[in-house]
Amino acid sequence: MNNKQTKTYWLFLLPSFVGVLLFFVIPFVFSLYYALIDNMGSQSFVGLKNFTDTLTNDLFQSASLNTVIFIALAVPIGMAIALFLAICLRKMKAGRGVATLFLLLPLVVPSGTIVYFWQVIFGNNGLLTETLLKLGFEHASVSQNQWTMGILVVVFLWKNVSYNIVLFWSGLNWIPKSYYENMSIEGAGAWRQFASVTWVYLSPTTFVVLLMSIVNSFKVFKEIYMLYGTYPSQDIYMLQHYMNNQFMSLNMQKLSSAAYIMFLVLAVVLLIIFRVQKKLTEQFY
Amino acid sequence: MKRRIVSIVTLLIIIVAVIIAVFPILFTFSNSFMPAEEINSRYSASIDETNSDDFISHNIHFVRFGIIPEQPTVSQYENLIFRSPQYLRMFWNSVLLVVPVLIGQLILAPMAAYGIENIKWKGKEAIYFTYIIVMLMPTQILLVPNFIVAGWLGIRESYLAIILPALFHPLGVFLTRQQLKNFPKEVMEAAALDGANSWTTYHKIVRPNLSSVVAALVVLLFADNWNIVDQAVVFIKDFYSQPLSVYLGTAVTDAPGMFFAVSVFFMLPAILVFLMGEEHLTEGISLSSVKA
Repeated sequence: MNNKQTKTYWLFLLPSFVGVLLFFVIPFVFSLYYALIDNMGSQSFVGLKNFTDTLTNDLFQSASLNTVIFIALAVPIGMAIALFLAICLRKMKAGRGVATLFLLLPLVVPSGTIVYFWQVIFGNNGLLTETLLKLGFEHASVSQNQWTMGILVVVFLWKNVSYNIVLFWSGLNWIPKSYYENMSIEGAGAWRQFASVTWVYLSPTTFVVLLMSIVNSFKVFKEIYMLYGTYPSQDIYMLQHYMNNQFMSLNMQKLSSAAYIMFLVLAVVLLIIFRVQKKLTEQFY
Repeated sequence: MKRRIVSIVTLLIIIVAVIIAVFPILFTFSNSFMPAEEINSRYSASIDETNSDDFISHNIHFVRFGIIPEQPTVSQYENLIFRSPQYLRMFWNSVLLVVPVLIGQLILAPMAAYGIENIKWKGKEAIYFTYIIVMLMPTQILLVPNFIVAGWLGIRESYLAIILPALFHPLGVFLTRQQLKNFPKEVMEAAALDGANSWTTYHKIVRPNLSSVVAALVVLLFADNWNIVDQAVVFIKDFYSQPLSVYLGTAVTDAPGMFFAVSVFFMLPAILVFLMGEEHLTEGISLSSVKA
């Protein structure tokens, strides 16, 4: 291929790359400046003061804790359910197309359209409380806020598991059927087939699903906003709410420092996941 | 015998999962044919003469769960279409937010993926790494740079503040490039040897073969942007300029009598797009060649 052609490939990439730089990378780098100054007026440097302020802020701390709890629940449960359903789908002989269609439907249904249903089930006068009362539980024990996080996980997973099913499904389809046939000939049971074929060859997919699940878990803001409005109870006050409060008050210092803290923590988590994935890949191949 | 049991259990699991997936949608659909009075009587927490026979505890009326309307009617839809222009306006707001993003992504993403896949420079993977990092950042972090740029460009109060960053969100480039990796290199090289330049190769050979990932992208991008909440809450201050996806959270308490019809009306376009692209959703996405 000639030199001129190589240059035109850059032209294909350019519009998109300029956009990524302009709308994400450059302003994000620039926001570090905002995180290091005292305010937009005098703009004098205060070192890491905004960072220490944010880290010691009570709201930021409880928001971080709630976000971590939510991710720790929603990500593994969501991945496990999706993988399980994807494997079941693959084992189906008839009706797979219809079943997939229905299972993926929640993916496209906007969060807000289902909110009435969730209120009828989980609301203060909802079906769940009613059932618990009829079973003889005390009213005080069923109407407390401690269940909110659990409810949130259920509502979130209902909508978001299907995305993981799509990803796992595409990964499963890449595993040649003959690998399983060889295993069956050797007399391996379902569990051994899963452990030594599915799990091994699916590991690149699992890794992507894990990464995407972590990003997507922040989308729970939609569900909280629909169910509990702009000011939810303390138990589900997430980093998203903390950020939104700073947006409302246009506090660029708090916004930028919080964004950088979240970015750094996430970067470390991603780095660990990348490393583990690399180790696993070397082990298997 | 054992095999048969396994396949029956599998089927049962799938049936239960399908019911869980579909039931809330079905509930919303069937309740959209209830008159406002029935909805109030069924789901309101306050007790009145219409619902005093239901389960009541601590002075709270508990829901009388129902799928089948007692007096089926299309009155919710009539109210929506003839008496509530704000919903139609917000629906239109959603359209205005989604369509430019879809068009832009479908032009930009495949081009960028084709470009980066064929660039010979070694450092291109560093560029691609930037895409991956941005893709893996949650909306709440990305909103900060978006907010700053919107300030620079003076578009903070406009839809452009949401649309422009969404045009360049890297997920589209990532998924297209994954698909492109399965595309035989020889075909592209043969076309080049035949004298086709890279534009011709792209339009005649590469782009047509990306139809399944493009269809998958349409479904995913439509679903995501039709359900936009976070960005709208930050950027759009005028109440009636909000997309319907945001307003539904308010509508559920403000206008419960027609909420279900509004919801059905709002989920319909997303479901139609899904039905058109569903078969491509699973084949258009390939993650097998992802490496750390």
